Amino acid sequence: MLLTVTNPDELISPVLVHEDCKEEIFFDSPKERSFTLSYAVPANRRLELILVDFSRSSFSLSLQVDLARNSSAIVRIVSLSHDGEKKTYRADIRHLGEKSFSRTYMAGINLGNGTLSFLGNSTIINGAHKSDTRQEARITNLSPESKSEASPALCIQDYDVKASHGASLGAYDPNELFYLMSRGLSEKEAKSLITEGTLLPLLQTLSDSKMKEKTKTALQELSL
Amino acid sequence: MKELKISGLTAEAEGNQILKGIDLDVKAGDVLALLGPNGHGKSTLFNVLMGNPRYKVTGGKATLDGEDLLSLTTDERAKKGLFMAFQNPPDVPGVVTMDFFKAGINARRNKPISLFEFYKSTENAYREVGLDSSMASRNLNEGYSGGEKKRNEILQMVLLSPSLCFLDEIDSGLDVDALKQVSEVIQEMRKKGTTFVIISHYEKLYELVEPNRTAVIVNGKVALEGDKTLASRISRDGYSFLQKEYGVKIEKEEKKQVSIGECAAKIVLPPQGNKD
Repeated sequence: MLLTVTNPDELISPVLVHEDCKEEIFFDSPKERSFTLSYAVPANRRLELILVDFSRSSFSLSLQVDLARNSSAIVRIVSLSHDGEKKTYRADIRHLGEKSFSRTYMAGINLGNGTLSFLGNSTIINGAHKSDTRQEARITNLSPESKSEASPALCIQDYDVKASHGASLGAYDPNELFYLMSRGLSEKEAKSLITEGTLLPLLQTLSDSKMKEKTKTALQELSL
Repeated sequence: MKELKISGLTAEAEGNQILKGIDLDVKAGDVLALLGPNGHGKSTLFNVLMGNPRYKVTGGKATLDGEDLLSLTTDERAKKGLFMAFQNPPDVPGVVTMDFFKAGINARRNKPISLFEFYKSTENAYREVGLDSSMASRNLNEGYSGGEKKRNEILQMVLLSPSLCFLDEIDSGLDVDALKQVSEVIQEMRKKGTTFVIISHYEKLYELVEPNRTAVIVNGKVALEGDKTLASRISRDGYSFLQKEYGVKIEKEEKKQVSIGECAAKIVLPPQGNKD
């Protein structure tokens, strides 16, 4: 299912996931928006969610996913933050049942002097044994004035679980840059490959061809 | 490339002097075995010549066919025909191998390579180094085994056909068959006139590629030069004879204190102490 969202009323929330589902949402709002999305995944079901926000305005998203026994959720959030924008993404994943599984990946490029915040939080409640969660956030800052925050948090109340988190935030890895340049790529080319590379691993998972095309065009227009 | 001349080259990393006056000439067609104890400056020399910003040149010169090398950017040096096979090639998540190869090839051409030609040359190169060409669609070095990373370095060397190659422990992590394959590639390029400087700690690679010269770096300087037999002797006897016969004292590495909060793996441990 593909949704292109410009108006929050178009989103029906909360969503109870009856069957395994993959949802791809492209946010393309010209005005400042704030969205709340919540999903409940029943036992043995699987949810895959990709949220892409390339909108040229401030943006705030609050996502909540509740996981019942043996259910799973893969959440991917991709963002571009332009000059002067304030973008905040919250992703609360709640493991309410045993053997529930989740992965949250957030990747963004902060192009200008805006603020980009990835606030992920996985909760595993007491009793949700054998649950498995991971929170990841990755931001590449392109301007010295970029203000970015990545906080992949874990709130674990059960003992018998797997939980991990990771964040990387910053400008370019000098080692990667040197490697690419040692093959003849100019600094500009190398940087643009690496920058696109922040988002590509997530965008590659899109299955809707229109959406793929849209994100590709948007990235090219940046002419990093 | 006709000649690489290095004279009095000194360089430091994070405030530690590592190269303390390297003098070395490499002529077109040379296959030079570069040896020396761990941490005495071999890899640093390669990185400095390639322009790694981690190292700061503090003195001396390096010229390629008379032109100052050290004032060029890394990509300019690559386009002059220099190539370094990395000892530890970094993972570059998100950068697709194929896109990277194409960018590297196109950097050396006026007109971008055609899709067909690119496909043909990468297929051939993958076959030559014994890797599956489906790896081209994967992220660069991500999830590769140690041996695959090394083969991937040689593969890039084949694709970019440089004139002067620095191979930094290209044989570590390679199995016997892979080592043979890699040395065949080196021999093939050598026939076409490519020049090589090869760092290795094992005689096997040198047996296979037969260098015509050997240079030994000790305490950040070229302590001794010789022909192929010098490399064999070091493999057999170690470095201790250098002091007895040539008066070259190998200074012990003084370990830098690592405090909590620092990444121990990132701290360089160069040889310290007085110059000999």
